[in-house]
Amino acid sequence: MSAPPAYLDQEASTRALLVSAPNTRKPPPQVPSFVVVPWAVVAGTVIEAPPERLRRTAPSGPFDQGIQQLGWVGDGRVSQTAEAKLSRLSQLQPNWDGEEAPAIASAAITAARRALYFVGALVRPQEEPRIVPLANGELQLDRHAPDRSLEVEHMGGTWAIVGIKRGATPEFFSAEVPSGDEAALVRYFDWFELRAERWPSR
Amino acid sequence: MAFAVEEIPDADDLYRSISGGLSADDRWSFEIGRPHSGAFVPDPDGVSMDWARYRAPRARLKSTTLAVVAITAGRCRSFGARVVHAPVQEGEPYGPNQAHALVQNPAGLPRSDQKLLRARIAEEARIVVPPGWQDETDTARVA
Repeated sequence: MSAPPAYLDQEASTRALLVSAPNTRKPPPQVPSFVVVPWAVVAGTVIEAPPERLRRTAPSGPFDQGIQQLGWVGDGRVSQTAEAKLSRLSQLQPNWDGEEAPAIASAAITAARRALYFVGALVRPQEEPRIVPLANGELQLDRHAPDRSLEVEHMGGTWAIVGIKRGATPEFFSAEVPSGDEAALVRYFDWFELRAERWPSR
Repeated sequence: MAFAVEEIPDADDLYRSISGGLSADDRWSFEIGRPHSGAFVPDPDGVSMDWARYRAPRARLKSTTLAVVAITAGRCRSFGARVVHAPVQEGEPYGPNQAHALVQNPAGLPRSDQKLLRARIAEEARIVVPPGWQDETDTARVA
């Protein structure tokens, strides 16, 4: 069996709550096969991990406060629009941009789909990150608003992340997370969507 | 005669032609009126720019050009980038281009810092030829 994601070990109290309390929110969405990860065994039953957002059972932190402000939570699915764009990008041939760009890497498509799935539980459909094909055959996911931006670029097996907070003097932040660590990646989208003061630290 | 390689002064502008996405918003964020950092993804030898000393920003406009932005060589250097003049000689691919310059990552720069460098350039670049320039040209022609 795969090891549970690292963040579960850091949230033992949350895990205990999940095991003991019924989920009073909507049930977790149908989890597509690419994110089905056995993460815990309770009384002999394997529980599959839903996105981190949907595992919460009671308001307990900045995420929940932010969700209350938003008044809405997504269902953790990738929108049809995003799926259509990923499908189109996966079929691009070399030189798709007329400037000798390679085809978009299949690893980038897979990583983007996984990331969008997890981010989708936080954002409204119209706020889903934009998927941007890059001239080096990679993909970027980004969100922009007048007061801040988040740009997340797939580079090989890594997401390279940049946040910009605009004010009298713009502040720049950066980070890197492995492309399979969506729990870490989503924290940076939280930073954007919830207008968090502090840039997440790893 | 071959173009000589020169030192680009800090105060001189470098122009970047923005093009190449499947749609305009693949390269430009219209919410905030600037290019994505993804518009500055380097080729293996760096991000291609044109040194203002040798080429006017509208000189290389093509129908596929979305916009042209500018930033000084000194500003790029202040972000930690190397800026080098790399003229393309007659007979070389995409040549001749005496204005050609490269903005390069320092060797060994972590990926997140490479991304940060591109984002800083995108954030501070000035718009020289805005998206929709083709419409302006059409209007001028009609007038």
